Amino acid sequence: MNPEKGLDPAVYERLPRPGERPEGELDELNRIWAAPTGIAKLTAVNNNYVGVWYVATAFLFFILAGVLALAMRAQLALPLQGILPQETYNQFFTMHGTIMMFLFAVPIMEALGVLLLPQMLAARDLPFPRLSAYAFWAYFVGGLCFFASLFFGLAPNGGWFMYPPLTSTTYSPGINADFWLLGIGFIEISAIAGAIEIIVGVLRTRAPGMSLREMPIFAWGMLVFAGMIVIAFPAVILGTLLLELERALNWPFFDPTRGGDPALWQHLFWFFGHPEVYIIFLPASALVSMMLPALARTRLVGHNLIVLAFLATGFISFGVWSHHMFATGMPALSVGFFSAASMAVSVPAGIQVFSWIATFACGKPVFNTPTLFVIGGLVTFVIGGLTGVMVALVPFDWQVHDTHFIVAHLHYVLIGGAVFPLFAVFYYWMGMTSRRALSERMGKWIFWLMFLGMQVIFLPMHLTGLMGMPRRVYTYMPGRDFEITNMISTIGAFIFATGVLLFVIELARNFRFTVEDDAGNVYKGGTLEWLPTGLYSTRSIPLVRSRYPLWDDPNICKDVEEGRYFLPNAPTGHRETLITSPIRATPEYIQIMPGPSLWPFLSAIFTAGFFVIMTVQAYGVAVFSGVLAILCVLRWMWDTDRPVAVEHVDIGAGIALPTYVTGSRTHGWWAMIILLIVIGMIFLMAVFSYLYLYGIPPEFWIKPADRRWLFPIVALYALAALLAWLGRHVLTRKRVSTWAPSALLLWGMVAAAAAFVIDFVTWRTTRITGETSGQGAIVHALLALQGCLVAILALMGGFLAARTARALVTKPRNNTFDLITLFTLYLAGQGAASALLTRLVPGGL
Amino acid sequence: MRSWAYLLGGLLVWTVHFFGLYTASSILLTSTTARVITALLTIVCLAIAGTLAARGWAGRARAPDEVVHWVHTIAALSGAIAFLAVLWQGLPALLI
Amino acid sequence: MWPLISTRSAVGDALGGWPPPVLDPAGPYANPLATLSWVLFGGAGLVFLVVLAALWIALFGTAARKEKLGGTRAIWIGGVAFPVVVLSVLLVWGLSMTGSLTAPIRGDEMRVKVTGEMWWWRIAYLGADGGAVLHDANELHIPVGRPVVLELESADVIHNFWVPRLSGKLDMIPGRTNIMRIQADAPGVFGGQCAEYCGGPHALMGFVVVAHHSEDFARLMTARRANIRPPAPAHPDLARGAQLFGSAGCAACHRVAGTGANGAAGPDLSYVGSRQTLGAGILPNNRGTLMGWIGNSQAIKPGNRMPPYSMLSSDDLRALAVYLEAQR
Repeated sequence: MNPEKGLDPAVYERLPRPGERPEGELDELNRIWAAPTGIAKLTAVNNNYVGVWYVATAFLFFILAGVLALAMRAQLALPLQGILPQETYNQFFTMHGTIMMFLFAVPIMEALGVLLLPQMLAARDLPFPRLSAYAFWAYFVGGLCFFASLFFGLAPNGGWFMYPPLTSTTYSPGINADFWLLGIGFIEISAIAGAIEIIVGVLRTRAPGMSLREMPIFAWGMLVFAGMIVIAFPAVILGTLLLELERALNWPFFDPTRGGDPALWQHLFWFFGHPEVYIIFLPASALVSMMLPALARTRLVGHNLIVLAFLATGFISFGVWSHHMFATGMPALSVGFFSAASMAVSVPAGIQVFSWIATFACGKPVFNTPTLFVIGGLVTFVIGGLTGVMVALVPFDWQVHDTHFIVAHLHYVLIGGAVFPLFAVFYYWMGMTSRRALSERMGKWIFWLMFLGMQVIFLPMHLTGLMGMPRRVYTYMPGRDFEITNMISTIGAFIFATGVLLFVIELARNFRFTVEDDAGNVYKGGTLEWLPTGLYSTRSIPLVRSRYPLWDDPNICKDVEEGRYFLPNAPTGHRETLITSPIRATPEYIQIMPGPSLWPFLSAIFTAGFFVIMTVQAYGVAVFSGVLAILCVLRWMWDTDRPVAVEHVDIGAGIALPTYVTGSRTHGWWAMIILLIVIGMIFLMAVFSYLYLYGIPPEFWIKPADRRWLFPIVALYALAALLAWLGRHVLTRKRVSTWAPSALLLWGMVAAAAAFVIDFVTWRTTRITGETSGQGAIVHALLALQGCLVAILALMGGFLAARTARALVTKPRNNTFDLITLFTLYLAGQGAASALLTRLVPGGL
Repeated sequence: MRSWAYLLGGLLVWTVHFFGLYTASSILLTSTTARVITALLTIVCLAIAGTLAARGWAGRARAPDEVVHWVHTIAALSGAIAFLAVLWQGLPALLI
Repeated sequence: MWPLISTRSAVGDALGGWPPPVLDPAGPYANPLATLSWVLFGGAGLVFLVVLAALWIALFGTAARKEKLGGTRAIWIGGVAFPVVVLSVLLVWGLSMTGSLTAPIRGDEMRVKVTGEMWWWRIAYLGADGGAVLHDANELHIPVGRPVVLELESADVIHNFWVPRLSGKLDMIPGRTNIMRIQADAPGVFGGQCAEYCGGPHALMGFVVVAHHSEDFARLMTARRANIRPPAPAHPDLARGAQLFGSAGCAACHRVAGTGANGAAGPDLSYVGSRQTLGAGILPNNRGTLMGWIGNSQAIKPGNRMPPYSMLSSDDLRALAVYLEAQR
């Protein structure tokens, strides 16, 4: 096993190059990377801006959801209080959970990825800066509209996991549930966009020499985080889609009277929902592992074990979803597997905790604010982990499931595992984006208030649960002994809130946003984000030889600043970064990066608009907004994929790199593959749903559409794939017309569309409609999924035709052409699989 | 791709094992057949995960450079943790 | 012995939180769970202390001690070996317990069908052929010393049946029948609660299980199946209450065995007078609470399906309450 041969190590010996760089280079970098000013700043796409806005917005949602929690605690302080009426309380707890999970925890981790990753990897920016901007704005606008539903009494009230049938139209006739389903829609989109960005960024934009071995722990955490989003989010995307289809079109996926099953939702939701907890915990714990070496003034002990812990968590957390369903009456054997996996997933957590302890033991910890938050988080998380092991034991879970014991457990895990680490992060990295550091004295007050408040709220709450108080209750009867522990919890909540309030005041006092003259490396970290930076990130991109370059090479800051490493200039005159190989980080090519643009901003506004307006059932306006969003995306795409005049540039050390590369090594190809994995996972979840419903009530299943039509459908899809492949092949030939390759691909698309139409029409001729039964519903859902892909393919066809007409489809290879070919191939495969499944599985095999 | 498959080998074995067991118990419920399938799949997966761990550990000694050494280390560790998780997941066949 | 000050009423004893019902089991399906809980608490406490001690040494220990802790060996011992041993033991125990608690039922147990509805419990005692022989609501009577099999179903959304002193909890899912076993070792009243959020007044959806000596239980069942009632104390309002029950519309939703009242939408009131609680396990059952509930149950349990009867005078309400008290 010898992965990637890499460059001759001797090449690297030439760095850093001694001598001065020519005058004017730095000015040129500054000019190219300058951010727009005034109102146009909204079009900025650079990670230094988008990252900070993103973190700030996520923090805002933390405060808002926290205020909801305070109101709930006030209501529960005494029995039968009237502070929050029943309906308001039910909306509050639903929104608290939903916002904390979807609008705070996941986005803030992505935000920190956007803000910190390029610096840690010494990349100039993430590979798709406009995608980051799009993800941010969709989240910002959509999230605020979603929150505003509270003010109109329209907020969802079904609990953050929205179990049907409570959330189906029969029992939730209002648009509250739709707000949840569509509100989550844009968050899903922005999470997926962020995940693609992060995976490609971590694997392909690392500084030369930073092999997987030297890669910072945070990059590992974010890689696994993003990988988990790619696998887990499709389940909830499909789930929300199905529930919305059931609500809007009366397709009975979850209605047992018509061959649906409410438990299907639970499987789909928790297949996402449990990994979600680790999606939140992994980046936070990775940040702890990044800060610890600086705080304890030593190297991280057990670096490899922590990498393994991340990878293992990334896998095994997908085997625990049903431990939220121990009380649903699943087969006992099945329950046993989930219990075992839940045990196994706690081993990586133990590894991390002891790595941190060993690192503290190795070094000389300084008790500053981030250290305190790290220690406080560790202690809190350990308690949450221990109660987590308890609830992984099925018989114990039968007692405490859905009680306040669980509420206490999950807050110990999430506050200890994510919130306290995040506050350490705010202190530790504040110096990167603020002119002033935060006050240590105040920081200690904040820590102790939050830490003690946390224990006072949630430690007695375990007992409240054991005493029999279920969760999600807006009140309780007097005389049941719940008063005392509830009152203590409420007092704790206000102590905790005081700490957070002080932090907000502290931010107002000391946070002054800047990119250039920041407070800097206050805690003396050893990783690359503390290199001197401007908007262009680092002046030159260093060669990385260790895990703590700043500690191991005292000259590195100066050498980087003086431009003695890679790419000290902007040879193409555009924004650029180095694309390196995934394992050894060998330089491969120069990526030309897009700059500020109005289009991602507008696309995001219209995307969020589409979902929000859809919810209030102004369908015409919603569709209009959706069309505008698509047009903006197409306009944004139009500027991309343009070769530049300079074909090769010297990046230093005598390495010449191409500026336009095609095929499977490109970042665009990687992003497309990841997107196809997401779509493939959505399809896989739909297939799971299909088989699940098929297995539940067989009497609802009837003869499918005529099987003879399978021959033309599959043949046409095969033809589509063949033509697409042929088109890409013909593109390399010199003596063909401009239109020949595109025409082949376009005919392939026509074949695929024809196959879909046949599939759809032959189903319409049967007695089975979407409303008939679970079978009809899931078959039509599969058709709808395929229909969406075909519609996207049509857009791509138009885009390709337009580009061909403008002679933008370069020969012999072209990235736009490649990516559309990939999409066509996938679509053909999914279409054929879907047609075979729906026509053969009811009794055909 | 081969490097990644090797690096994550153990965890991929875990994935196959877990979803194999889940499928078996979902279709066959808590039956003797399901228990037998569980036991057989567990033995096979234990053997593969164990082999991967051992191979990774042995590979460390022969590694030409630090990166390859590191890949072997992670492969060995992922085999080892998969071994443990697979073993635990086999227990319900005997105990439930 | 229990240091908390209790303000509870008489029926509250069954529904009270102290001593914590999870740790105060009253039957063979709850006993092992309590034992497991105590072992888990003890074990977790111990593990937590070990971690705290290690952290303490790491932060404040002597150089020699810190050095022992500051390496990968500490991670292998503390973070891998230690949890693996502890978790293996727990897993084997937990799985065995799961196995024994979910062993197949014998088939000759007494069976009761409990259906969760928004926001109360429909109860049907089943005969040997599986057909319902007796209907009731919000209060389940069982004999002591033998297992009772519950067939849990739902009429609308997902509910969850939980009597912590008798067993763990189990969901009631529309379209399914989940099987649960409970058993009480001694006579008594045990509080229960819906544990799965089911909308609106989910917080106020409780019930009680009453365990009787076998002979008492047999007598009760026999009498009720034959519709033999204990003699009602004479009261001038009784007849008017019975008449009002029909004329005010109560009978449209509620059933009273042996009368023309045959409504099935709301709880069966055949034995409402003997129940420990009112409004599905939330209020003590007496004339005052009965009158209050009938007059305006929305003020007590907002969102429940019974409309307020504000057109009834207090005399009417009293007459109805007297009539219902007599339904025993």
